[in-house]
Amino acid sequence: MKKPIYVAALSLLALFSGCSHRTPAESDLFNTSAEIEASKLPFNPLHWKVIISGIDPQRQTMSTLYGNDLAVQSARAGHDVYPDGSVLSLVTWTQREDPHWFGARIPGKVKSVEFVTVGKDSSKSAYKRFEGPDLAPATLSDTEAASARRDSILGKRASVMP
Amino acid sequence: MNFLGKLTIVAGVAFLGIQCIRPALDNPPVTAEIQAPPEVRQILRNSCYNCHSNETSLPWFDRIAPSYWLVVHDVKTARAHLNFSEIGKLPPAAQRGALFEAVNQIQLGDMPLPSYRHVHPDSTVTPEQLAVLKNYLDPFRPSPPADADQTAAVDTQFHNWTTSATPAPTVQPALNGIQFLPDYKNWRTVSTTDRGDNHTMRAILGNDIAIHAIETKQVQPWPDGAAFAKIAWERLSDDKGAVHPGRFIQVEFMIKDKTKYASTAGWGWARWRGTDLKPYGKTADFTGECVSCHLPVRDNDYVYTIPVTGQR
Ligand code: HEC
Ligand code: HEC
Repeated sequence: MKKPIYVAALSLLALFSGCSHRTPAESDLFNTSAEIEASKLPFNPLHWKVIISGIDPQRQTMSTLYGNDLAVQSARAGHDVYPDGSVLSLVTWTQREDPHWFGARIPGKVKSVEFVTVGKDSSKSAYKRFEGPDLAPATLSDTEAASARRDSILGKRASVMP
Repeated sequence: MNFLGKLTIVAGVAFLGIQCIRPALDNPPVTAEIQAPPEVRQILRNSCYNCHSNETSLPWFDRIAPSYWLVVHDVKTARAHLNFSEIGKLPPAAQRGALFEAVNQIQLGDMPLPSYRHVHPDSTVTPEQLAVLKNYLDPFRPSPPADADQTAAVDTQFHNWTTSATPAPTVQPALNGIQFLPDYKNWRTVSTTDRGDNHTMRAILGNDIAIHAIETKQVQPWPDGAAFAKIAWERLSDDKGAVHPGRFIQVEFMIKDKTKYASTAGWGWARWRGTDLKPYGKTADFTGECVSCHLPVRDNDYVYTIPVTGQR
């Protein structure tokens, strides 16, 4: 006679206290929509360290500049010119609202991944671009636009991280 | 009289008896009510003021012990955390910050307290009311371009950072004893956030254990030893409308150890502010702030960030 009462009381308590554990949806735990299919790229930029991030509110995109060790060391030392062998990668995502925090935006889908590989003469650094969620290699017929992108990437300063 | 009859009488007397045990709950004067338009205040008044203000007015069924004792306890705790009758004396940005936290606690289903909502269904914030609060806060309205002082401050910080030894050789541990981890900047990136609510940009980095947990999808719970660093910079617009990180504001850590940090939700919390990396807070209790704001994501092991996958 007593047992069902306890069970009922306990379940009521659990209901009211609201402390029961819900298993979150996969999309609450992992941002797979923002994943970069690294197999389509010469390097996986996520293996590298962050140099700086940026936001384009008009296009609603956000991007992060990553660099290999040589590039990161140089950027964080405040040098103007990257040494031979530096590789930089700018990943741009569309933004989406953060489902966990009203007032925040987080990476949505990959829009482009750009690479700059620095040679002996940094003004001749190679620029490559992969576009869209499936990261199709872009044909860069407009060489002027390509060098403008390259210079813009090479010109970014590292964020201060004491 | 049979046993059941006696029991009923004893219970009845006890019930009447405990009504005499009445912890005091009075309404101190309203000194500085939150500054917000009437439609916003009205929603807070309806759903939150019974606990988070000096204008508590309990319906008769809340005045019956023992539920009265619980309510009194809730009201006292709630007022200590957030009091809409006194918050008006804080700077506007701090009041806005409190409203953002309020909206987020509502959105994640944590406020009003679920136990209270069951008994007072009309205190539930409706989707329409939530939209009113969000429209008022409007986090991503365009901000004016950075002024010359702001830009100069970034340049100075960058210059000092690149020319001096980093980290400053004497970084003090956080007030709860957690040591600064200068290598955080070499951890991999888990995500980035654009925060319109407080005009900051953030990068969230994870140590090897955290990254491995993401790769193998073992984050329920996060393994001991996993650590996150979150770095916040000012969010500055340039004259073309593009947004860049401004001054470095702070770096904070969450370090998982379910045994060592059992009293703070299984995580060690620490924050250092400014390029001189000054430990945050006045006492070791600063962690209470961290835990209560991360509480709505307890089902995600207290982690807000949704890590970008593909780290392999
Ligand atoms: C039944 C009483 C009760 C009601 C009603 C209630 N709260 Fe709370 N609230 C609490 C208590 C108790 C806490 C402290 C919880 C904790 O951290 O342990 C709290 C904490 C909070 C916090 C966290 C503050 C901090 O210091 O981090 C916010 C924000 C909040 N409440 C917002 C609201 C809003 C908005 C409403 C109305 C929509 C609301 N609450 C209604 C009792 C209440
Ligand atoms: C007002 C609410 C609030 C408070 C207070 C707060 N946090 Fe957070 N925290 C967040 C949100 C929201 C995020 C998600 C990332 C972002 O958008 O900034 C976050 C993310 C983090 C992260 C990255 C891992 C994760 O959970 O996503 C760390 C580390 C962190 N916070 C540490 C702290 C520490 C340490 C304190 C206390 C000194 C603290 N937080 C206090 C809201 C808060």
